[in-house]
Amino acid sequence: MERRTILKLAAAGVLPGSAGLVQIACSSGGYKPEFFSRSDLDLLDSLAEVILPADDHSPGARAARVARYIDVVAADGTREAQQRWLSGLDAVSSLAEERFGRGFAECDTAQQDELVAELARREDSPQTSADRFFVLMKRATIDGYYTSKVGIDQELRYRGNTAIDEFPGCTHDQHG
Amino acid sequence: MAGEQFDVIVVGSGPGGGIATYALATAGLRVALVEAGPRLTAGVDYSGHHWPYQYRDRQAPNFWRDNFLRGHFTPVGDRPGHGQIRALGGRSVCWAGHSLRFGPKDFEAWPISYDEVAPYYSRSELLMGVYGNRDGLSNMPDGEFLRGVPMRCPEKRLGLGVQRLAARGAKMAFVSQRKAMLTELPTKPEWKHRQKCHYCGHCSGCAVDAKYTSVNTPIPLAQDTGNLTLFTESMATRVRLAADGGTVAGIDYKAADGEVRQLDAKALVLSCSAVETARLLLISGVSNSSGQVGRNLTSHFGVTVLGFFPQVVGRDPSNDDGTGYYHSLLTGLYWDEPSPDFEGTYQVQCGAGITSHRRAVRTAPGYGRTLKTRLRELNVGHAGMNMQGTTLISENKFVDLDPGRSDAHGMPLPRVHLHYDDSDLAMAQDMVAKCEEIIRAGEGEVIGSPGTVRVEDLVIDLNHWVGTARMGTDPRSSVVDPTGRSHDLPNLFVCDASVFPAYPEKNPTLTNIALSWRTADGIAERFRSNELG
Repeated sequence: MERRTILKLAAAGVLPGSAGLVQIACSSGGYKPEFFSRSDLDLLDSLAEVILPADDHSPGARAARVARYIDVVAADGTREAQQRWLSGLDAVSSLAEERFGRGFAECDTAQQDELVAELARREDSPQTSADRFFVLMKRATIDGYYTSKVGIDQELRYRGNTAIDEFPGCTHDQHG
Repeated sequence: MAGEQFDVIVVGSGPGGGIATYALATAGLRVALVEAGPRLTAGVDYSGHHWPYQYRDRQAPNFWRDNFLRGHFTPVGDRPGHGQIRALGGRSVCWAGHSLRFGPKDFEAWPISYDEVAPYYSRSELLMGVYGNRDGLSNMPDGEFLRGVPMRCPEKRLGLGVQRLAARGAKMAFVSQRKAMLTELPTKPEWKHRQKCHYCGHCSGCAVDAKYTSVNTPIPLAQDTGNLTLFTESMATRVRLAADGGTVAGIDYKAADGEVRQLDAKALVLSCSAVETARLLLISGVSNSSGQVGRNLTSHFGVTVLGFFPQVVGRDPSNDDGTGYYHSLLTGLYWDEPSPDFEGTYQVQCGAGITSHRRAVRTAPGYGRTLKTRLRELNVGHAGMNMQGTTLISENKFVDLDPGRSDAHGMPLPRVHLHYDDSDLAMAQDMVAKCEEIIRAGEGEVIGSPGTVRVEDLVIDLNHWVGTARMGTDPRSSVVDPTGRSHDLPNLFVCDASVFPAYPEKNPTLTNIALSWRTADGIAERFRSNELG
């Protein structure tokens, strides 16, 4: 079955989620990137953490290993999709170089924030390739974060996917 | 070469074929049930309770995708698939369980009335185990219900919105869902293979048989009679007529070993789904003197609107799974007075909550802490409204055979010709306006809406096709008579949703089961009176 066909089905609502045969993840030990270079992975990691940072409520995208998730998505993606990731990373790197004379991952928190703020300003109508990359990156960060143990257990505090005797539903009079 | 001889052959083991097999076998008839797919096993072919992060690509096993990858779904020429799984139990294995009676008004365009079907609705609900609340609605009658399942907080806010609009005269109602799942202990002998629901939300591949399927109720009960012979991985390839051409002699089928074999019977029941039943009739060139086989195709389609209710942000979202996402239903629209802008009716399935691998809300502006907090609140407080309306039955929606493409058995693939008419677009536009109004009346915020609906926004329901062998009194404009029997062949019957001559907004399966049971009882009666056999 072609990946494209499966994606179409996902879009049609027949198949939730996107494609990819499931395999058990290798969670321990050093991570060996499947698609990106080490420095790309560091950039993705920093960028993801700016998009969904650690806060008082829960850890952020770095703890959720979002960069590794994106590495797998890119590895499984089409050649065009892979190219979008690479050129997007280039665009962000160039922006950081121009503005601060260093790579994005090497920028301090305030500088990273300034760069992402600029990209996010045009997310509704992306104009540059860096803008378009931000939209892609943000979507993937959210996907990776909320499918991680951190995202599910600590951020959403979801305790389901288990067996309970009765479903309580809404027990608040004030809700309706 | 004469084939093995039975009283009745049933082709297809989905909701219609499963119940027909049960009714015929318990009436003492010798039945062959022929199913193209294999028997699936819980824990192997489907299971729940996995986590996305256990997998390399953060995609937990999922009934739909896994079985699609294994090629268990039937192919369609110009559609990627129509959602009918090829396996013992068919679509009943992976259906969501929604069990809504059609109402008296829905039967006005049928040659049979609600009152004629009502006893079969009751019997079906009692056998299946259907939960629900007694809502007293005019055109979605109450049934024989097990204890209902409550709504989640954001759904209650939608209910409040509906209540307020209804108080100002809007014709609509908001009720809890009705589904074929055991919310009480399986005390009946008919439920000996089933368990009470444990509200994990993995209903499509319910691994404990809390949800009704053909495989966990009617087929084993039919086997208990000793009258059932089961043929799995056996693809019916042709309806074979007797030498005089006036009756059905049996079928040809391709067995798992690749051999084409024959079965003979005194009566044949087709229960292959609207697309596949039409396909088999067209391939065989039978029962189509009307030219209506494959015509009158319709399905449900829809768009989604998302709301957010800040009032419920502090609620406990720890376990929202329940019996799947949709716990509530907006209904009662255009029952009494049709819309001037479109034909037909729609309902809106509503849900809320966080589940193990579904992030309902994935968009919010910005980045950083603001984004993170907003997404958390949206997921806890969102409500999803998914329209289910009936596409207009028109000349340009039909099933035919693909002249250029065949399946692995060398049989022509079916093509599903789907187009949206202006009426369909107008219906979707009306739904969007109504849902936005309801969200605001419940003091919520609209966070996702197509606004002005375009054809690209519409999503067809690939599981709800009906109408390709419609029921009617006139042999010139319909394929089967009001008892489900072919106008052309006196021992050929259709027990699936192909026979629906008109289609309301409500989910098809309960009516498919009730009608198929009624048709099967009619077949048994014809055997008793020696009209058959």
